[in-house]
Amino acid sequence: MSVIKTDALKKTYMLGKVPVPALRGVDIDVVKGEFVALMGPSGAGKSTLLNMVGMLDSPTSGDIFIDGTNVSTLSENMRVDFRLEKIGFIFQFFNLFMELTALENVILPMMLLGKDMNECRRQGRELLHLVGLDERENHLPSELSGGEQQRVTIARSLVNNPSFLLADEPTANLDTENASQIVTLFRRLNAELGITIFMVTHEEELGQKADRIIRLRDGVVV
Amino acid sequence: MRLSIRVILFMALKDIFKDKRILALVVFALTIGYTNVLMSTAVMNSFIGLFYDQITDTTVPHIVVEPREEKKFIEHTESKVKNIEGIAGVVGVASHLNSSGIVILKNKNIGCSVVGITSSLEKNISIIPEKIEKGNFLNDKEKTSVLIGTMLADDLEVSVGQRVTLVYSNGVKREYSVKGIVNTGFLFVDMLNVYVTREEIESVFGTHDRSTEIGVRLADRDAVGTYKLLIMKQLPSDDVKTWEEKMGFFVQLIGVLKIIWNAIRMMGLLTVIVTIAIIIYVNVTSKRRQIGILKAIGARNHIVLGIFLLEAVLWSMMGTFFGLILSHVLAYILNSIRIVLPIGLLVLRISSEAILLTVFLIFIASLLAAFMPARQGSRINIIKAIWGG
Repeated sequence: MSVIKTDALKKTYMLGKVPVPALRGVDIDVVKGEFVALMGPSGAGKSTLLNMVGMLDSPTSGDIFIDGTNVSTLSENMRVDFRLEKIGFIFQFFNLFMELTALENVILPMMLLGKDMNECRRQGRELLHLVGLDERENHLPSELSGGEQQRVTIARSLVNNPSFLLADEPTANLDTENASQIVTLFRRLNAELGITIFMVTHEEELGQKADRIIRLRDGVVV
Repeated sequence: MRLSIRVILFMALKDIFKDKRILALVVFALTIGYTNVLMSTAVMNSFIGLFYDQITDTTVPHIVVEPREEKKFIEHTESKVKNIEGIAGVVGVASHLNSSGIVILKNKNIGCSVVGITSSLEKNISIIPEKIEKGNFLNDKEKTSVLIGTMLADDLEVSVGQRVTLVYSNGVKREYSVKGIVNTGFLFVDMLNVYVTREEIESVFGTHDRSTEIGVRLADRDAVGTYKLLIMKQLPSDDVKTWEEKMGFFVQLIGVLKIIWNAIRMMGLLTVIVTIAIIIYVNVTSKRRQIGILKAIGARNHIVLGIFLLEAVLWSMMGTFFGLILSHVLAYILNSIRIVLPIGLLVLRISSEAILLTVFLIFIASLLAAFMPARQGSRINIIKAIWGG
């Protein structure tokens, strides 16, 4: 079953009055439980495709299906809700809320869904345990290492049981050891929990850890 | 709308308390702004209240009946006084027979206002009987004594028991013993007035049952307009004025002062508005990426808007709370120092109405000030916010 599917996806930006095509008709299909790496050189359209799949941006033409729903036609508020419930985001710069503890960062998406606070905390602790940060739940991001911060981000991305994780260069700002731990964690989440992962990376070694690599060049899949 | 309020409150509180020093600075600025607004209101209201009270308690009763322009006296005073006394809501009526004069002691002679009073009735319309600083008040039948305002007494260097000469406007010159010194704290009374009994001044002018004014005190000073019409119907041949009409110049002066004070108050309010707008704007600008993340993980625009608006409200509430404390402390200190103005002792009172009005104004101002930058924050483009550009 397709979790992510795009159909003739195009995106053209306007640089002043000059059209700059970023995606020129991309067709991808990621099925449930897959760990897919999206790779390609700089300017290939990786980030653009990630933004489309993450519903952070709208395509110029073509369709995007998430769990079988054509999300290209959804209203802004429906897109927000869809993101909240279906997608777990992991960003390059960790992007935690600096004033929130690790646990609070993890449960924030659950709070946005209006879930009971006790349930939020219980599940948040479970996820921190899953990523190996049981002892760090009350620490602020500034008290955590880069690898730990990224693991908190991963725990947060899992909190609403999303259809898939969307990871944007998740190890780009980590040293080798921490990067390795994150990749291992991804593999474990995928293998043990069957979580679908769609990861953008420019690191060949990291890409090789995925089940499948989708290569993008000049806005098309090659 | 899910439980957005919980997230808004949670995030707003976390953001506010994340840096205690900044919080202290912001709250301090807002406290000063709030105190400025509240204190300027308190000073204005206390000053105007004191001025109006002094006028109506010592100089011009709530309603004044005077002879028409072409006449010197109100005729048949006693019956007119009785008529007015019968009106419900009138708490006191007394007539005066006034004259200008010169008071003389040794080689000093000073112009004055001579007020002829019925001593037993005067307490019904003024506080003069309670304001005897030295000596005693007059009796109704007393014909050889006067009361003198304290500043006038100082100018004359006269004290209780000494004798002064009073020259009336009709040229009659009489000698009196100073029975008491009147100290109302109100410049116009203490500097100008000499009080004699009505019986004495009637004998000076050779008249009876006539007066130059009838003063009326009401239970409600603000109802003067209604009572003026009622009294006008009873006394069609006389001129009936409210105290505001009688003191027109001073009331206008107060009106100008009010405008100045309100301008000062608005500046205070503007300070609060600008402070909050800057804080929210800086907050939004410095947290673009976090706002982007919040929206990316599923927060709708109204949640982001709500967080910043609630922060503004919480800040203003803290500023209001500490401003209220500071204002009361300042008022206590200033009242302890005793600010004596030419119109009397200024006692600063922070009324609950002023507090409620200021809280309301600050609350609305905070929301208005925060709205534009907060809305700007809520509409941030997620991609630009997270990845720059």
